[in-house]
Amino acid sequence: MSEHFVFRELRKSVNGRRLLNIEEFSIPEQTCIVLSGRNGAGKSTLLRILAGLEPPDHCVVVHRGTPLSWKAARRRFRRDIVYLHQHPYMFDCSVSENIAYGLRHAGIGRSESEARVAQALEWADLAHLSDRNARHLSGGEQQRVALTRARILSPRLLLLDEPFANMDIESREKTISLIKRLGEEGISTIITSHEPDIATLIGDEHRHLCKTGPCRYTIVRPFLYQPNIAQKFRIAERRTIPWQHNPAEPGGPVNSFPGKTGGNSEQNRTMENGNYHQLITAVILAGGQARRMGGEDKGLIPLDGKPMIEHILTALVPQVGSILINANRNLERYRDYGYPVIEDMMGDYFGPLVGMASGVRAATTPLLLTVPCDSPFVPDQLSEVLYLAMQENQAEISVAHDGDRMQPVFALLRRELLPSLLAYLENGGRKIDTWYGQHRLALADFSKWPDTFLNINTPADKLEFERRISQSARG
Amino acid sequence: MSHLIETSWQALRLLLSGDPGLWTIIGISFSVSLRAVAIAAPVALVLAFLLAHTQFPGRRLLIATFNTLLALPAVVVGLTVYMILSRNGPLGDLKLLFSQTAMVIGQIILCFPILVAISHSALQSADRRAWETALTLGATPWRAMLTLMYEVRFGLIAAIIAAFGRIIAEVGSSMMVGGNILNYTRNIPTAIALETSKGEFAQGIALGMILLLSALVLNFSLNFLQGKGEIRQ
Repeated sequence: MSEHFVFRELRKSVNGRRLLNIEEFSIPEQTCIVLSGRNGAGKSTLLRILAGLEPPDHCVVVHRGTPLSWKAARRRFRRDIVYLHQHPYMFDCSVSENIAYGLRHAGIGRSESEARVAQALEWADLAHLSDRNARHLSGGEQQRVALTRARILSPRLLLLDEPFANMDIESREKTISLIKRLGEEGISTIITSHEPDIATLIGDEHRHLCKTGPCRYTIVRPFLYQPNIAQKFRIAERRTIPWQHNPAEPGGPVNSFPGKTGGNSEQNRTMENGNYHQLITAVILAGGQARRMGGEDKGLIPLDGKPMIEHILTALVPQVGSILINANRNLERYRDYGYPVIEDMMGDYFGPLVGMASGVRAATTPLLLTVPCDSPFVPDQLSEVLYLAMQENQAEISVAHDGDRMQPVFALLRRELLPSLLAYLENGGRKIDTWYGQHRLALADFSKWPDTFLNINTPADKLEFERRISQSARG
Repeated sequence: MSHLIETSWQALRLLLSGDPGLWTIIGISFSVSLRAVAIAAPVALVLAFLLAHTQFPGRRLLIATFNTLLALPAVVVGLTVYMILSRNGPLGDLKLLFSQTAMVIGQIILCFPILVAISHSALQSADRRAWETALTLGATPWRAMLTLMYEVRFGLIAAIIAAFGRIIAEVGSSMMVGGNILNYTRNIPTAIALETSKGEFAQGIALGMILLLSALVLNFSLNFLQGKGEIRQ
């Protein structure tokens, strides 16, 4: 997927206050991005900058690999991008004249224009309103007129500022279905919303604009999918969810590890039966920088002929119901394993806790098992021991203990902890132990399996590991 | 009193008889003032738009200046234009003094501040989203400006009517720079002044009726349009 626009070092201050400070914001072709964030986080300002309606203090714009000056970029935006206000402005004329507005400037003749408008009116189910003054329509109808007025120009990118604000359920459904159709027609969209839930209804990608320090807002890009939200809004689920492709499909991604996410329907029954595996989603934390390994992606370091992550997957598949991989690099290679790959929801390698949070967010099972990507000797009893420790102690988090110390990245935690975790991160907390300390913790004894916690930090470790693997194979 | 009624009857008869001299005067009056508004309005509207929707140094000063110029006395304008166009003035070589062109120049100066001030307030109250929507739908800034003007058209028409009302009845400038030459620069206000000084009240009243009638029509349409402008908010 190529990047249509990339915005780098985007900075904008409003009234002397630094509102936006975004290292990189890329807009791929044919993608629907949902941009969430609190009120005042700068969502609308960002959108207006992307639309060329407001100048940034500083920004490097790259269009299909070519850097543009702001002036050239703005010309490009006006050709490729249409921006819709939260409450769209209706010109004081009929609905069809409103829709024809952009065509007049594109130099399209009268009869051609009329034909296209008629077609567009049908498309949006607005034909019965064509001669009404657009000012006299309801909010939802105006929103649809605005979408049609934009659609008729076949833009590359549509920017929608809070399109669902103050809209009743029915208008919302109609608007959502129009936006989905835009996506099917190859038009990218960016939708701002203070309700992150919207991202589960539409959107291939969800980005959250949040404050990660004093006066610094950055973009983070989690991907979440929660089918229960779709039910809440009474909307049919998306037909294609990226990771639910049938792995056995010929030509599909290479997949040597069967198993899929989801399936929380019979949770309670399985809980009683003690068949806890289905309740657990394993999150493999492969999002680190691996400074000591020269920045190599640890999960993909070959060990005994296979990337490290394969060793871990082999050990985990029988133990859990579903698997997610948290990674920030080489996403395509990780995706090839057939499991959903989740990027950190906050940028800049903030550490395992962020990876954990991203995993918890994306998971649909009540329990989450976190495992680092650089400890290849995962014991077969990992989930069982952690689960039993949690049950016995009625704990919220169960953490592995090697006899001397706690091993915080090997943990089983309840999904209900997500709000607490997000709040902790939002306040700038990064230390895993401190956050654990806020909850009822069970320590699971793994002193019987000391190899569990061996991890690769240096190239020398790798040689030692390979020696061990060949030894155990011989033995 | 009976004298007044009798002369009014005479005036009506004069108007209805189609006295060519009288209608020439009326024609000159409207022709000069319409030309003045037609020339001043486009420039004034664009200036008002710039004042309302762009930022540039001296903008506020300019707005204050135009508001002050609303009170510009016609005789002062007449005097200034006279001095500029008279033989010894900077533009004396153009030989424009005592011509319709000179009257148009004087009236342009008179109506320009009114056009700017009233359309500025109309454009300022326009919804900025109209401008942004036009731009994002691919309009050039120039077309977007015209769109915005269309959206506040009632306010802008009101500005034009007010400006026209001001100059059609103006006597000071026309008298000084036009010279009140029969069949050339004699318009309604200067004619009334002349007829009155000659004691020819009937013709004066007939012309006054025309002025009154046009003022009535203008004000009614102004009220109508402003009302329409308010309802739209």
